[in-house]
Amino acid sequence: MIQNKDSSLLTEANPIPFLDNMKKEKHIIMFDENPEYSKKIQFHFLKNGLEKGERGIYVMPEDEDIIEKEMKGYGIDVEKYKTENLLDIYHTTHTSQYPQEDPFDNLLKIILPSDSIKPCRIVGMLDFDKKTRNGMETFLRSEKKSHVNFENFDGSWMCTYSSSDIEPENRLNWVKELIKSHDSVIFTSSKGKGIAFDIK
Amino acid sequence: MVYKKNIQTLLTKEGYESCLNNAATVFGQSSDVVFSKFGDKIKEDIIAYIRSITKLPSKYDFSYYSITKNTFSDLFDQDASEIIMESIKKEMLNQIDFDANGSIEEILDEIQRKDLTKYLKNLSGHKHVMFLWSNKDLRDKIMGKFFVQPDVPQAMISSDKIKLPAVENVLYSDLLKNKKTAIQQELQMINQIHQKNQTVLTTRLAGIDCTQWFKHGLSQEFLAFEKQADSYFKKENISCICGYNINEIPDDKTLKTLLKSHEFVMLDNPHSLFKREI
Repeated sequence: MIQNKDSSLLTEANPIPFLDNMKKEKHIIMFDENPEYSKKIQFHFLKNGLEKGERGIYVMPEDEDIIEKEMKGYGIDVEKYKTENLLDIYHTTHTSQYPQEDPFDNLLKIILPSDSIKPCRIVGMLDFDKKTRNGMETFLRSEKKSHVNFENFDGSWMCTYSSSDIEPENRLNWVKELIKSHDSVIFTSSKGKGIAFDIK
Repeated sequence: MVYKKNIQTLLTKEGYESCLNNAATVFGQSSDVVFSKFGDKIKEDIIAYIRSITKLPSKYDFSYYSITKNTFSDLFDQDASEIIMESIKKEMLNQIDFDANGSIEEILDEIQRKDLTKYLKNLSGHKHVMFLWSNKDLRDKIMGKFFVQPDVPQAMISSDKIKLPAVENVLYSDLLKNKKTAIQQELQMINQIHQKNQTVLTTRLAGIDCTQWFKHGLSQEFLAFEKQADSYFKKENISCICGYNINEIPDDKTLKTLLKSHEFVMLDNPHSLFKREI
């Protein structure tokens, strides 16, 4: 940890210690350039919550069985947490039942248990066309809305997107704008390194 | 008065380039390690962004501390920028071979101080260095690193008596007793000291604060002397540091005239050395 001038604590820059030092619920965005390393970060985020008795929900465009296997490989006791109704794994297509609605609302409507009394950690990817300007504008609007709604959400949310999927001409601007709608950001590189920090 | 904060810009405009590059290299390489953590795509975008706002050349490799820091404040926020700069600092500490603490700027200055010390110790002949200082303690420490050849004649002109081992000390007040002959006397003194050198090593000379000549109304005479001395040092195996209190140089015009007579310029804070390349 690094002490800044006014003695408040600045958060660790490496992604895993950053998650271990997470003291409050956060809306995090991860820009991914290394799916394998990013998955470790996602699993670590979920595992930290599950071990504290929180719910974990994983929604990504990948086959559920493969994800389960990978989670087990990371040391997550998938059977136990599923039996205790603490862990759910979905393919992104599962959350596309109401295509006219806002993707964020749609996602929550489908995956969030109505009877949940526990804080929840979600790792998810909203399904947008991120390669075009129009698609990115819609995506940004939705992320802004989700951040406003995040205050009423009991838990933490990690949004994950591939850096190379973002419309390249204005990528840095999109990143800058997306970050503003989150509490923290994580970047991962193809070399298996990453950096994480909070945004105020 | 010359404004110190603009001095590096002025030197660049006058064709000087920094020739202590270790600090920039360490910072550049450390930044590169940290920037790579953002992923290749974002790193490329950040470099393009910096180039667009600074018009830096394509070989730009994050060697500018303030630009890097400001870029992250601009892209993210100040706290994020501090975290990123702290990561760069950690990388820098891995790269240097001495214990260091303090800010990145202090570590960079320490690297440059070590480089400057090495440069002064090994200074060969025919070097005419202008030393623009603003801090007397730093000035004296730097001068101490120059006079490290006890086997050759060494001399320093100063306002107050200064004791350095194996260094002949002459006072400005003695030279300036007779203003009409003062410049001539200094030339003679340089000659006499250099005549004593029977070795192949370089005679080492320094004036600790040449603005004394300006204060005594000999500006034009001394500017002419500097030009003459520059030609003389090119022929003789002499190295000379001409110290100037930067706050006492009357104006940019005087400074620019002085620069024409000095291929090298040294600064005390931060420790820097520039060579005229044009």
